[in-house]
Amino acid sequence: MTAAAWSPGIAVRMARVTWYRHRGALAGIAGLFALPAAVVLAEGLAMRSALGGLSRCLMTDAQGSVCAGWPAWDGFLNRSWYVDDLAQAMNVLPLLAAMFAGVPWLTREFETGNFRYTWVQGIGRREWLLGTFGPLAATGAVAAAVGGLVFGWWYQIAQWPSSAFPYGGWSWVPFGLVPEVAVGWTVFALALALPVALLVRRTVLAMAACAAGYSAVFTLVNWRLRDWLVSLAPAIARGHYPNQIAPSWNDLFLRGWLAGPGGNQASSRVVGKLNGLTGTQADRWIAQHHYVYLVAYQPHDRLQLFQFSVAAVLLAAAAAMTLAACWLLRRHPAE
Amino acid sequence: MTVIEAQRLGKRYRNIWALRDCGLSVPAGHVVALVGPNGAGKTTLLRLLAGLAAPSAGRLRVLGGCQPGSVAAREGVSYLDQQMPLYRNLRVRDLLRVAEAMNPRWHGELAEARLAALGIPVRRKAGRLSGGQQAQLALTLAIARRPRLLLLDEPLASLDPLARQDAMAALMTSVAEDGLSVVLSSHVVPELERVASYLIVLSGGRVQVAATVESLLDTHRALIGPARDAARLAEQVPVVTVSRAGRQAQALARTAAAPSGWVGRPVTMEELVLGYLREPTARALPGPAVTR
Repeated sequence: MTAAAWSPGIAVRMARVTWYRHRGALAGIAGLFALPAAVVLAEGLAMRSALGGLSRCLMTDAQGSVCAGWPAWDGFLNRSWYVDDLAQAMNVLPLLAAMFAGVPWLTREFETGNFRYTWVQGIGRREWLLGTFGPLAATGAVAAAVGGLVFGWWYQIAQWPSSAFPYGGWSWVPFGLVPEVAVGWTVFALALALPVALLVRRTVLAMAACAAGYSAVFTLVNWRLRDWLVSLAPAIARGHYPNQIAPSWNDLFLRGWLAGPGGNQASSRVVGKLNGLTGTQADRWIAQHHYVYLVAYQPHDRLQLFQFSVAAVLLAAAAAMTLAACWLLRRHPAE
Repeated sequence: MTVIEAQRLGKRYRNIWALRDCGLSVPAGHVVALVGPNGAGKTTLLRLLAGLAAPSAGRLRVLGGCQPGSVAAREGVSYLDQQMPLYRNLRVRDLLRVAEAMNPRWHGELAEARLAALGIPVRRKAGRLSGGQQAQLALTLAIARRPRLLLLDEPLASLDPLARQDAMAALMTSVAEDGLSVVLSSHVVPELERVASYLIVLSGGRVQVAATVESLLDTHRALIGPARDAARLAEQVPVVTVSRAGRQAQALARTAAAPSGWVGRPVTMEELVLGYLREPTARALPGPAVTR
């Protein structure tokens, strides 16, 4: 395989080829996000309507306890009990797109032997791979962006009365229910399918391998990378000992500590002593000994920055997967 | 111009050499018959020529110096194998559109006219066509790319005789009209005999015969003589193979005239091919004769 110059002309021609050959996959990816989005859009509108009828009681108590017994409140609860399950399930959509659209278009070339037709045409293998992946990824990105917008809007409505839009969106479920993160996961999942399909070359096995790979990366990103990112450059503020909370409810609390007069962290002996005092006694002791209780946190206005950061990491990983697929295609020819 | 140029070409799969030390120089404009027993390396050679595989050793060029698989080679070479790969879930019309988008030199009118003449419905899915129609469709897709070199790896093997004849006639029409070069691999030597002008015999991964059919037939004779003289025949002419039946012996020899005591007659291509296949060490290559 030699490298042919990539040009807009080739991209347009391959987009046509992809439309003729994989329009089912394109429609499947779009439908995968559009159908749940349509459902939650209808649900969201209904919940918003129900909440509109509760505005008077919610003004009194945002937790909704005053509204208990109101038919509109019951109507709202009936629609929101499954919210967390559904929100978590939506994180699986990118994987489904990869398994049922991203993997088969490539593995079936090998299973049917059609690669012996495809790879001897006027368009080279790399152009074919990128030219097919491009429209699939673009469709996935648009569908995920629209889906993320709708899911995020719906989740906020569903969580709003209990002020439980968890931690202002810092927990992993709402963190991913925004367009940029949804796009990142979807493009990454579709890109992951490329090297997996080229290595495995059998549809069912490749689907399983893709699911395993995606799950591993999903765990790594949500329980390692995201925690590491949000620990970077925290804001520092004075807090009230020993509360483990950030200045605002939608900020992300990271850690709290007592600092002595010299700025050093208080010793365990001091902390042990404070633990034996009541709240008022502890406050008095801290003031008398010129200690201060500090909290490290991420302000809520940085949430979107971190969401964009995670999306950028995922898109970079998608680019790496695509390059790996091009390398595999060149290194492992047809035989 | 040479359409195929190979020097010490080799292809190894793990520890097994499928092709080794192959030298070829095939001029343009020929229909090349590529024959050999199973496992001789025919498919490997065609896949190397198509750019589907890379050589493990040596040098291979097509169309006067293009590396197989390069942009220029892909635009000028069509390849069709015995499984006739088609997107069988697509309608014929969509297959034509896909082929058009993937090939800058695509001749859409030629393809449509050919399919219309063959009565292949363009709205039907390729997978629902008969075997003969699928073969004709695959051949149409290969020819309408307007290649300069067409590589066919037994694409007609599964067809009935009538469908094979139709497909072969269509192929020859294209050869005559467009002047393309064809490499046709097949086990059916009599069928190749009618169309081939150049012969390549592969055996054990090596090129045994490579020359124009005309020159091979001119330089080989079937010799019939007494069996007792068969042992001495090799001292008089280069002998490819000898078979004995009672007191009579028949030999295939690389000579234009029969030696004294022997009766010579022209050979057919099938006799020539079978003669060389029976004696894998014999060679008929450009340069000095190598025979037993």
